[in-house]
Amino acid sequence: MTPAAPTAASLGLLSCHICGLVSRAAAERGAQCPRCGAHLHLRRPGSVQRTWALLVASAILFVPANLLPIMTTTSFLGTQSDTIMSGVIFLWTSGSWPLAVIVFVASIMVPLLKILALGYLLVTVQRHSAWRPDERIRLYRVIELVGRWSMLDVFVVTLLVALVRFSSLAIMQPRGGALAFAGVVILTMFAAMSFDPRLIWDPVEKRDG
Amino acid sequence: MAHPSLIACHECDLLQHPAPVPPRGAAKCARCNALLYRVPGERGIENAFAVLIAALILFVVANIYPILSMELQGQRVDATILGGVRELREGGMPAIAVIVFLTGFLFPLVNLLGMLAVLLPFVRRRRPRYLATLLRGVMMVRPWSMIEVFMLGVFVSMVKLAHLAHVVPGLAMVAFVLLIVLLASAATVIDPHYLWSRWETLE
Ligand SMILES: [Zn+2]
Ligand SMILES: [Zn+2]
Repeated sequence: MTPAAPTAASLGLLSCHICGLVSRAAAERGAQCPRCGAHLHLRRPGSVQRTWALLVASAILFVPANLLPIMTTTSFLGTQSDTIMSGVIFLWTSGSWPLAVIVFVASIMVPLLKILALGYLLVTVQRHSAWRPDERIRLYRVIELVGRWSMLDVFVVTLLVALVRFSSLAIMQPRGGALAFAGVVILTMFAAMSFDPRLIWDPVEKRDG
Repeated sequence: MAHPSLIACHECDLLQHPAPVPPRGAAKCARCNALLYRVPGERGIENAFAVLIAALILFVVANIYPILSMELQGQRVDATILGGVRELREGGMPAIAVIVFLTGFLFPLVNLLGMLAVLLPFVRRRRPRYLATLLRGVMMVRPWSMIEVFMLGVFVSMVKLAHLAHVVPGLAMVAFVLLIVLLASAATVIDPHYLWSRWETLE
């Protein structure tokens, strides 16, 4: 088990989020870093509430992002609408299954798991859980690392539209689903950034004395 | 009152004394194993600065030359990031155009120029005056600079278009791949703990 060790907060010290300097808080409010002048906080202010708000918004947006078409293709065969999932199925049936898996993981699995994992972290933090902080911090790091890769399909739509729009074989146009999808990625990234990972460890110290 | 000899983990707040780290080494948190700081090798800052200058040239190449070209009935269509942004705007999707412009062009450029600005005073052995502001800017922009994700998007697009027409990768594709490698190697030098400890030693 993790040995009891002092944290900066328990000794009344603040660490600067810009330059890392550890200093004693002169005043409770409006403390400034003596080296770089940044405003110092014990923990990110309003971290839990802000993360919840962003998370709920991204969960709501996740529905239209997956149901609405991200792109329509008009050719002599007629008009065809593509959602994220139909794009994955197209890649799978056309024989490029490694790419189908990559797009499925990046576009559907990652945003969904990210929303669920952040929700789980928030609930454990609010219940002051001291259960396996090392596992939960690892989960948080994975969330931070993989989130941006979900932007993949937005770039794919951009390139397809740029290449095909003026050609004679088809007209490809972006649709609202792509915007909803980009919104999900941006909101979940902001949610992960507003979460303060130190909250995971705060109850551990209380438990160990 | 400041305690420069102490470091608090940014992920678990554990207070610890920074252990001496050899050049090209890294210090990890004793409790949660987070990366506390890195120490670049000898002349690490100068090397990173040179790498970033090369990256800037590659960035220009990557945005001037086509990433993908499609040949169809003797006609050739080229795709660049900024061209794609223009198509999106004209195709009635200005919001997505803005997102692609920011994540695929502007933030990568700001990230690149920001890192150069952070390192320039150190190369000239002068004490940087705006280190806090510049570091904050670089840290803020970095997660939103998505050229690696864009490159994966290029591969997916190639496969998706393969059944429609003949698609070939352009010169910008090579520039982008090199750019991603150079940026990743230079980024290891942009370590706040290390740069601020250097800042303390300069006049
Ligand atoms: Zn500071
Ligand atoms: Zn730690």
